[in-house]
Amino acid sequence: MFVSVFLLIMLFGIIQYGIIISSLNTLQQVTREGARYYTVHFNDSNDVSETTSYMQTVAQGSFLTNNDIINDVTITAPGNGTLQIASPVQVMMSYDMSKRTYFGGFVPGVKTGTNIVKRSTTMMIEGSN
Amino acid sequence: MIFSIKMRGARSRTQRGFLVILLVAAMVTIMFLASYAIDRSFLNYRRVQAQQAADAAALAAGWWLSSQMVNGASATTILALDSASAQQVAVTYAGYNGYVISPAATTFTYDANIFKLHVQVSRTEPTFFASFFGQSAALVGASATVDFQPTSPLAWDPSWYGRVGGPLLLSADGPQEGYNGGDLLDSVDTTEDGTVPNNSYNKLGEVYEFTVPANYAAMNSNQKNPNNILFEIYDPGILGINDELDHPASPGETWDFSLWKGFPRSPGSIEITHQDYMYGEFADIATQNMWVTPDATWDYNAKTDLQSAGSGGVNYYIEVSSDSSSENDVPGSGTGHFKNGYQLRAGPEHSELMSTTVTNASGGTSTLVNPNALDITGFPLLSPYYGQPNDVIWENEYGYDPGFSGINSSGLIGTGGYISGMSATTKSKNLDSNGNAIHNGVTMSMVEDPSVTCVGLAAENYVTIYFGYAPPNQQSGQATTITFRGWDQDTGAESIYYTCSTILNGSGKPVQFPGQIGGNSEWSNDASNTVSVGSGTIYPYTGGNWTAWYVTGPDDNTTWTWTGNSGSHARVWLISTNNATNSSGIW
Repeated sequence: MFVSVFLLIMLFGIIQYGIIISSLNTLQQVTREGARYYTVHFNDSNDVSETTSYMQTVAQGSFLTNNDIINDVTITAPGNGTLQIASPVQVMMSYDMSKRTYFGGFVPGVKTGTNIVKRSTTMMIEGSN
Repeated sequence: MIFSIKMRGARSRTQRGFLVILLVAAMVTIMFLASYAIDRSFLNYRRVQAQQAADAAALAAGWWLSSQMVNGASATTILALDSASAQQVAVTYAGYNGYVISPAATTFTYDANIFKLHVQVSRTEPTFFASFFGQSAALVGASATVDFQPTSPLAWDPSWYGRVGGPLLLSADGPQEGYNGGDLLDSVDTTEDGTVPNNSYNKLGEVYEFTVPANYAAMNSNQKNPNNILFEIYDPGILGINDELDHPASPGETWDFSLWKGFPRSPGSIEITHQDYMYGEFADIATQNMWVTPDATWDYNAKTDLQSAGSGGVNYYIEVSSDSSSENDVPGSGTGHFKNGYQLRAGPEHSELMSTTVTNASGGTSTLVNPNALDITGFPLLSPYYGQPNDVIWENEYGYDPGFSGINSSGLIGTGGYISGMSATTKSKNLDSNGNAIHNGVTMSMVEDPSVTCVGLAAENYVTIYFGYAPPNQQSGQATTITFRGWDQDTGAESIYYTCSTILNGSGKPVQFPGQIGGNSEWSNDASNTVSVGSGTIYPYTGGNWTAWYVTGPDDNTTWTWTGNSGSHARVWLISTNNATNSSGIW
């Protein structure tokens, strides 16, 4: 009985862990794609909205919804700098990982409730070609 | 019965022992699988992050390097001058993304391609279950390679000729040696606060050595005076801040140029000539913001002496000293302790650069000027210099020595059999932002109007507009696109076409690229004509001097400008990535 419980916890723990790692990977990749898009489209009049729109496209098929991208993405210059060519831009996405937590009450160590994680990518702004 | 009970007890204990073994084996297996499933996926996740950091660092370094490749500077030169800075850019952007790397993590001329650079990042990551098997950490890394091209191979910016922010006006000595904006300070110290003495400082001036090749005259046989050598100096006191114009120097200010056969003031050395520019003299004022030949007499004497040198192969020395005129000037000191920055260049003499040349000013025929006639400098069509402003030719060939970098005294200026620019940092531009050739620091038209301007012409003038030299696109496989803009081509402007000195037709005549003429009173900075040559086009292109042949209308007031690959930013492509997770950190 004890062994069965232990194995079940291990099983669901691994499943939950895989879901979270996969989610983090997705978040990271989306910010990367967004940062790259922004760096080469800077100076377009609507470069921020274009970037978030592109990130939505990238995130299609994943757990992220369009509203997630719209509401949780920030595009800023690190260190209160200015967004300009040859300067860095940071694309960050915040996400409540509790939405991806399915075995929080069952597997020890898994957070329950709001669990905001942030992933970002910083690149140099190149400007639109 | 008793035996039977004993036997069952013994078997039960044996089975329990076996179960323990099974349980232990199962736990080990589970832990191993867990370590693989969890640790491996975690390290893979970190690998993704490492890859993104490598990408960001490589792209930033590549873009930054490419942005330095302006004004035709070669990639080799840029790498020599700026690779360390590019490495620092990579370090910065890796850091932005959470990775600490060393400058050496960025390598250049990757894959034997000078336009590629490679960045590696890595970080030691912890493991969880794998620690039970002796691996408590793993080195996770990634690398990225980028291919970059110059920002704009034909980018011209007026602020980059003798002005703050320009890469081409580097001070020769002192705490701001190599400073883009020229030397604002003196050179007696190596720090701007004047606390660290400059041990190489020589109050008598800096001495530059150059060699006249034995075959110098033969090499320049197509020059009108093949024995002559022209020296020019550029006074960067045009910064608009802390310079002579804003802060007039005291009467003690003196610039001194001297040319020596033999090391200056050594026994047996001969001072061929020298020129002082004193405060308030016209010559002093004339040094502002332009290249100058230090006095015609000086030049004449120099040429005379060099001609008498006969076979050549002789070392000569130029000594330059500058007293005061800088921020730390002590007015009236006259000590010679304060040196302004300057640039030097030397080469075969060049004649006056042609400005726009108006022919047939009284009007007349309706045919265009014959581009195949002798040009104004007397070069026939078959001459490689036909149609080219001599100043531009001179600058292209002698104003820059990519084989030498750094500025210091005794900088060798003779390489490759030519007398060329004294250092890689002394190259002067031959074009301003609008593509107009520059002669002695002055554009073909007025200084305040860098474009070619024809004002108040009579009816049907034939205007030859020498735009100057345009280097080819440095990125292989990319066409060179040159855009001409003609403003206010009004009142009956008839026609225009463009030629390039190096693009000839089957008859050896310059190919005529037809242009479009705008309407009357049509002011616009829109591109009116674009010519693409080089890769992917009909005509190969290795660089050349461009000329417009324009038939105006009466009272035409028109302005022409040109740009090359206008508006393009640096382009950098991520061409390969590689990452891995292993104990050796090889990726």
